[in-house]
Amino acid sequence: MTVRKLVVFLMIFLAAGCGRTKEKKDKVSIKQLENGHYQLLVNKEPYVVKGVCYSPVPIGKSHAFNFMCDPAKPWIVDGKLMRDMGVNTIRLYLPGEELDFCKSMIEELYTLYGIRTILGHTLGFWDYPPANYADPEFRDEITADVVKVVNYFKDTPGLLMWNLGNENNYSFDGRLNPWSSDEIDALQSFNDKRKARAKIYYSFVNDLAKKIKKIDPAHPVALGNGETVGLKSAAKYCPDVDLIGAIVYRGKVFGSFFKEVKRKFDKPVVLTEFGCDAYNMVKQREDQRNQAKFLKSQWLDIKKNMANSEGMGNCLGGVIFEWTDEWWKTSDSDRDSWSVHDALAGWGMGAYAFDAKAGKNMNEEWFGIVALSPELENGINKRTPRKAYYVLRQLWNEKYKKEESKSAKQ
Amino acid sequence: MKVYKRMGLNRIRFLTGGIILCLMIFAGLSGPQAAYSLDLKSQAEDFLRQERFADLLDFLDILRMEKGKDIAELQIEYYSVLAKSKYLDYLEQKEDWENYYNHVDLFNAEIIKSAKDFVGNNPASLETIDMQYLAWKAYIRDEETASAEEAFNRLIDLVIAYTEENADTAVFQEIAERLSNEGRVRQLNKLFESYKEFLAENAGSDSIERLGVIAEEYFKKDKIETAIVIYGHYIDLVLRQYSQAKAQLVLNDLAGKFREHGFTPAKDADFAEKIYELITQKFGRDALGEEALFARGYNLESLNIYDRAQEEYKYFVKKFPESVFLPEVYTRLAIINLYSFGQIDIAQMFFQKVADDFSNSPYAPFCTYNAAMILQWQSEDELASRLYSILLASGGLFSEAAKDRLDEIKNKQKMDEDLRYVLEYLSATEDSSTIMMTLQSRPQRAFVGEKVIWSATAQDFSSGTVQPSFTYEWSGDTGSNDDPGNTAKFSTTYTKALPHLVCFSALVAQTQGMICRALWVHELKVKTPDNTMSFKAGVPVEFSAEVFPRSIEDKGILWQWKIGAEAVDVKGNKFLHSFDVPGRYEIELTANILGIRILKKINVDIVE
Repeated sequence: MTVRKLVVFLMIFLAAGCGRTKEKKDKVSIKQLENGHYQLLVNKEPYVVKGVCYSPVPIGKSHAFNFMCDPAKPWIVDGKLMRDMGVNTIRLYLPGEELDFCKSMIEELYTLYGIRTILGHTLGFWDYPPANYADPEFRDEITADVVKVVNYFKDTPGLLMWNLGNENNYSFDGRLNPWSSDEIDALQSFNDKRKARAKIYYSFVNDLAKKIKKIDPAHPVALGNGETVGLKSAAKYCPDVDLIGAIVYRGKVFGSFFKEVKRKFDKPVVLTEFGCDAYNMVKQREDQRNQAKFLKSQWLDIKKNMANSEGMGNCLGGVIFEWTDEWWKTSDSDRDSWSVHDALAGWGMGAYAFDAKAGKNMNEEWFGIVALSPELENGINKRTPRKAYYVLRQLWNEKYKKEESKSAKQ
Repeated sequence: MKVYKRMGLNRIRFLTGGIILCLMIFAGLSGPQAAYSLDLKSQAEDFLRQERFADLLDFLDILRMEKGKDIAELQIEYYSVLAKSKYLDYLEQKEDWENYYNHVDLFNAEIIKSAKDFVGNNPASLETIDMQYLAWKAYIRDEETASAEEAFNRLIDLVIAYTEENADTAVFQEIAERLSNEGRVRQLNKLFESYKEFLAENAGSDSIERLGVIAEEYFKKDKIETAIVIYGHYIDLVLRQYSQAKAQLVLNDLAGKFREHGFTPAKDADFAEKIYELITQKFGRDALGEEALFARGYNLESLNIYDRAQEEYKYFVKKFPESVFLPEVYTRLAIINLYSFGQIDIAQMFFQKVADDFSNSPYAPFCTYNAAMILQWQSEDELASRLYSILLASGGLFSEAAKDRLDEIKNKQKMDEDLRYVLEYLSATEDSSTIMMTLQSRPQRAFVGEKVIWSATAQDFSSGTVQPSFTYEWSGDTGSNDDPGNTAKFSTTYTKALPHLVCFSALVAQTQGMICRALWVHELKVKTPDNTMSFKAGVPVEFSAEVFPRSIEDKGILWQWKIGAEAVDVKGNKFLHSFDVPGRYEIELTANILGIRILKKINVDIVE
């Protein structure tokens, strides 16, 4: 090879190699295997979502606090702990107002710890003024914001997928964040009203999914749904989403969930929230053991339903709700309570048998697999991993995996 | 076991200076070159007591190096395993998960290996039993279910072998205590299964009582889960060894211990119902007497198994047509039909039954009023008016309310909206509400003036994790707290001895859920002849007491009387007394009913 040729080769190599390193875009896709199972691929490599919902609101602050702008950068400490546990994904509910801060955080989590992000958009459902998906102006407003966000983040290293909505489907009955129109109001039966709302909402999400995929074909779009409620309508009106991001709390295992998804809307599913709180309403005290026991059992059920496993093969992984406790949750409006670790349960789920007798047994302030304490460390509330953290670490991090065979002990 | 040890600092592998100091203190050392006598057992136990597990392991390592110098290797091994297991327990108890998970795999492997060697090479002794127990725990920690099962079976074999050889059952109880403390119900059950068989073979007729005593101990310590496991086996022996009559008696008593009493919460209403079911299965339906049958129905009510409660109450009515509890049973049947089944016509029929056939019972005014209200709501104004008029004429508790209703009828007005709404809601045939609700009072039977807490829950299952903001409303007889407001819990007191009906509603958007329940309120009454309070000096006066309305718990009440500050030497609910000196006297009565103390005072005047 002549020197000239060598120089040319090196230039091409550098342009192709080094240049690609800098600009390389991940391609995230979903593949349906011959057996009908689904697999998430990142750059053609199978990827199992081992995630945590990330909303590390400090003690004394509320959801209005944008932790992504926190100069103490809590994700630097959290990311290290997460990586050690084997977490490869976080779920962000929304990017917040300061998109550049969010972008930096996503990038840092990825470059420092290899952790990717499921980026959500709540489609205005939890904002004020209240969402009304029957209102074309409202839909346009949300569409513009979603497009803006997608354009801004689509090339962010570490972005894994988009997640549209967060249990917005619970509004179809008209009880939660109710929205309507004259046409809906004119309908006589409760069921017709519900169906009309489902049609409007899922059609809207479908339009958004199509728009996102035009702007960003490299990242899948998930429909963020509460449970399997409305999935039959989603199958009809929202076929262009790539997967379902489902929020499911069914106790130790998910029961018929994966089968229901298969039957109602045959798309792959990531559990974008699952878990167990660490507070026992019957014993009226922290209960790390049951939290760990439930999370382990839930993860094993998720694993059982992944591709090439014995279950339905439609699960791509799961995101534990959540990384840290959030002390503000009991009362959004009572500032004093944000500094108190309240033990009031917000809702009830009988399948969490250890404290089901209490009726309302799910304590929103105690879902963290990492506890917070008022003491500061590195400028943030001190983190103390709960038992669940270590139990999940044995399941998620190869380094800590228990030997399959105990022959050494026999 | 004495361990002789010569210590040289150059050979010591201590990690901390503290351990050296400690050893010196223990052994009374004056210098490292001296020869010392150490008691391994007591030293090891001191380390364990002080939770210095790592130090103990280091200490044992040093002893290992001294092999051949009269050191009991087996004891070293035993304490090494014990220290590791206790250390893991300690970390678990402290919830020091980081250290726990850093040690658990290695320690478990070592515990299992050592325990296997130890148990395999030694006869059944307290140490081998303990080693086997620790091995089982290690498998449990590892979640090695099959191995754990195998280890537990081996443990039971060792316990039986030891017990047979030493004719001592203490080890059984020791292991049971450990399992009970750890909440290992399944293993506890298995252990007592073996213990029961062992007793049946070795203790003969004494076996039932020995098992019963252990169960009773746990019951008294309020370790109900453990008590239930042991009573389960006790019942099995009772059925096998006792005569039918005796077995029935024992099982009835046992159900009574666990059932809902109303004044105090049940120890375990489910277990009580299981025993009642067993009694009827084994000995037929008639095996339950009057009080037991009533108690079973009431217990089923407390479990919210209303269809079965109704079944038992109906059978009660048939079997005990002369029972003094009949008015209460009919009242309960009416309320179950009204509130739990929405069967308003049937409820009316039962209310009417009490009004007509038990017009002198304490329940009559309450039932008459409710029967009339249903009739009024059904536009049977004439029939309703007739019942309201009876109440009005009686001038009793419901006369004022009856007058209001009569006025409504006379003025062709609709019934009070709150009353009407409850009946309309309960009678609705289609229930599209997805709101699940619970409502209960504690206690379920209260005394006049006693604090009662009503608490309710509402849950919309169609909205999963995101609960809508309900508005709560209370209606009915909320006692002294006449406006609990938008809350799911409130406390109150009642001044009248009656069933008190309370409804709780949860509203959101156009959906509403409602639930209603009854609270029974009783009164402690002290009676004097002709209900007068003035008596002549020197003439004997009979004081008597009763719970009104009566309940099936009355037989168990402990009565204590006082005249002024002086206790009256009588245990029953009545006594005779002559006052020699004229004046005013305070008579104080304390009724202890299932541990609840109710006080009643009256004043009597003694005249010349």
